[in-house]
Amino acid sequence: MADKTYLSDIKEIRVDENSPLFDKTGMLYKEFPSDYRQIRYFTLLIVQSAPLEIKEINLLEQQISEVIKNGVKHGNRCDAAKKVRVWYSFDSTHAHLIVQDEGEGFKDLEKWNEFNRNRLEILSAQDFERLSDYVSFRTQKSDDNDGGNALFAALEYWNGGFVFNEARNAVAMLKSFPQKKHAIG
Amino acid sequence: MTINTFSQVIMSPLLSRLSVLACAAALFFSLRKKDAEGRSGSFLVIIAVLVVRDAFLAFVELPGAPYLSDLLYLSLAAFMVMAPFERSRLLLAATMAVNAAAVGLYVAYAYAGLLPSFPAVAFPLVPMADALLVAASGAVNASDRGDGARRLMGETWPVVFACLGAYAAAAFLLGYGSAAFGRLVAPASYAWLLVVALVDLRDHDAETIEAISYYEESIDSLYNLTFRVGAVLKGSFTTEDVLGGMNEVMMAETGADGGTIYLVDEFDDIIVAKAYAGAFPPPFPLPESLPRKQNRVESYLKHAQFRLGETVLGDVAKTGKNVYSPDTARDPRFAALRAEGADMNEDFLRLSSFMAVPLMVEDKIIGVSAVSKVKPGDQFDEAAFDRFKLLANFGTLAVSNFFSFLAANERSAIERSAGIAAEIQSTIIPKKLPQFPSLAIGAFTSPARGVYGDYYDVLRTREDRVVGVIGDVAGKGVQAALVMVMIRAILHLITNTNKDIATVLDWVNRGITGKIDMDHYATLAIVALNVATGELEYANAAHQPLLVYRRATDTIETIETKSVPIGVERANEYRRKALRLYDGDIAVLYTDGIVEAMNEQGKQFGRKSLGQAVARNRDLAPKDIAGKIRSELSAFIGGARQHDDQTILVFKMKL
Repeated sequence: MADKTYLSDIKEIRVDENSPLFDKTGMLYKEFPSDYRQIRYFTLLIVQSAPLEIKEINLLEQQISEVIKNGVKHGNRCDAAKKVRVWYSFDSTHAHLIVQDEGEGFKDLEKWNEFNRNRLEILSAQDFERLSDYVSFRTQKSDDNDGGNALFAALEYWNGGFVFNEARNAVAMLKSFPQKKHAIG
Repeated sequence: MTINTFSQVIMSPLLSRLSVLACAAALFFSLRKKDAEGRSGSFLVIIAVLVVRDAFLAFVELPGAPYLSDLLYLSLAAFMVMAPFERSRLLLAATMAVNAAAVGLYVAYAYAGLLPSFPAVAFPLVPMADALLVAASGAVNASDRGDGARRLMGETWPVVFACLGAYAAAAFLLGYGSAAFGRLVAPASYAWLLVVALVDLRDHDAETIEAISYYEESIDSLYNLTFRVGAVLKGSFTTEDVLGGMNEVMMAETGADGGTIYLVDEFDDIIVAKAYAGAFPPPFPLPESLPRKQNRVESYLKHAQFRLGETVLGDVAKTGKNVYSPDTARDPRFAALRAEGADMNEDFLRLSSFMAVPLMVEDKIIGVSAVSKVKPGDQFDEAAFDRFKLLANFGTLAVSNFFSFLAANERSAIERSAGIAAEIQSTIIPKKLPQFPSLAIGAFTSPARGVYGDYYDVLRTREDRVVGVIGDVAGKGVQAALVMVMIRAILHLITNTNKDIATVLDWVNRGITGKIDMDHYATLAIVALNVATGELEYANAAHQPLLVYRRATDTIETIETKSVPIGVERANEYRRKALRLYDGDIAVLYTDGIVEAMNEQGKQFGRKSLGQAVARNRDLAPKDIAGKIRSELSAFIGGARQHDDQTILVFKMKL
């Protein structure tokens, strides 16, 4: 079935401490207190070093904001004494980011992958009755605003990989911007 | 008659023959300049053969030589008439064989004395047979006018036949030695060469005239295209409008009923419809699910996209090969279309003639242009196809120029916006810092390309009170510069107050936070200094901590307060710290760009290096301390890129 081959390509969150995405060489660095109110500000500080030529900068900003938010909220539980540390580098072809918090790590990572896989299978089978069970991913610690949906989007957006370290409190990600193949002028 | 004396030259038939041949040769020589196919050269060979033959025979009497040389002459003439035609190959071979055989037999018969019983009367029949074979070839190929050589022979073969026939018949009937033959028939028969040359000359002229009118029309249509695309550019900068204009010119110049233009996507291997006009039935099978309604099909075609190689259009975009299908009904490439059967009953789906060409810049395919005719029996002719290809070449040039313009325009918009921000920043920072006998102030700022978010200011609010401000607006460009302008305006209005300096920060924060529909944040640090006493008030909105160098102990103090940036929390209350500067003490405000400056090894300059630099240069004036730090920083960064603005503000007490 054609759908099967599609499903084998399902993206998932990987754990790989040795991923080259964790190589911090040449990356800029900033650290922030875990203040939920300041996430937009921190994001702006990071994104301002992206070159002017990058299009869809708002989408990049939104995605970076989500990972910082995860670190502040789920990682450090908004404990202002705990820091979120960000390494970043941008050029017109890529955005590379490592975000590390001081929390206990993303324990439900496997559960999330399982959830994501089920959800996509149900979607491709167009089984709308079961789909209602897979609208959002929730754990005991989730609040009303959580649904794991930011992670679904993140997996799609960070097309160069979205990888956790062994402690699962740091995530490295890479976005390659499409380069013009046929451009003239 | 053999020539022995000069008077015999005058009397002989040689002169009349040579003068006819000379005229023909002159004509062919002048034709050679216009002739790309080299035919004139072949005729000149025949003429040369005749000149040599006639001159030789006039001086030397050799029995049988006139006859044998005639066989050569007629073979060459027959070759000229027959060779251009595929269908005359066999005839040509037969003619050559007959002539060769005749030469062989004649030599055996006349010189070697063999074959005494051979009927000699057969020999003169061979040249006459040659003439008839020429006529046969001419008649068989009368309708074949495929190229210049065929057209020429098609027009002139009756003359060639008449001349050669008369020549051969007269030679037989009158004999080579007769005066009538030598003086009249032979020179007159050479006239076929003149006729051929003249007809060829006329054909060349006609071709030239035709070419001129073709180029005139081509130039006209190119003018229309350029004019049209240029006119579009006056009113619009969209790709769709420019290509729409080009599509309409393509249709008008080829007489098409409809046309479409697809562009290859910049990022993916697909082509996307960019222009669609008139009646353009799909030249490929439609998706089954699409209702066969005119408006649905048109809307589909207006927004269609295909992978490279998919459909006839995707194929042109992939291979760069033209498609010319004057009659799609007879074209196997459109068999799949006909297989849809029922579809073809709908008028709007009926395609009768179709052409598609790639749009290419140098050897890069950037799109496809296609045109259609829909009336039954209506066909694009070769001329329309030629015109279409020509317009595609030049049109692509115009379109690619347009794209270059768009790209340049975009680049300059980015540069312009960055330029405006840089100008705002450089306008609002102080040109000259106030100086006092007891307090000296120095600063430097160095913007990073495209960022322009740093701000500093020094305001003298009272005789003995100076307020120094440093800030870093998050974000970049014009937006950050505007926030900077707002902060500066508020500061200049409220700083002259008796309230403490933390209140000033509160007011700035209230003035900025949530006031306009745009997120904007800035860190801001303020010091207020009493010039007479050295008392210092310090308040900070998430900015880098204040560094104080103590001269007495030669140490660096770091004064830090926990706080949020301007723009986060409207009700936030900032806190104040008070301290005092003594003689030789130095207070330093600076931005992220200083301490986070990174070298090529990925190491940050750091607050510690900054403090050490201040301590090392403690005896200098603040202006020079700032200058030293600037040069140390730039030495540290080396070849690495400056990624953020760098600003530093230095106060030094001299009590």
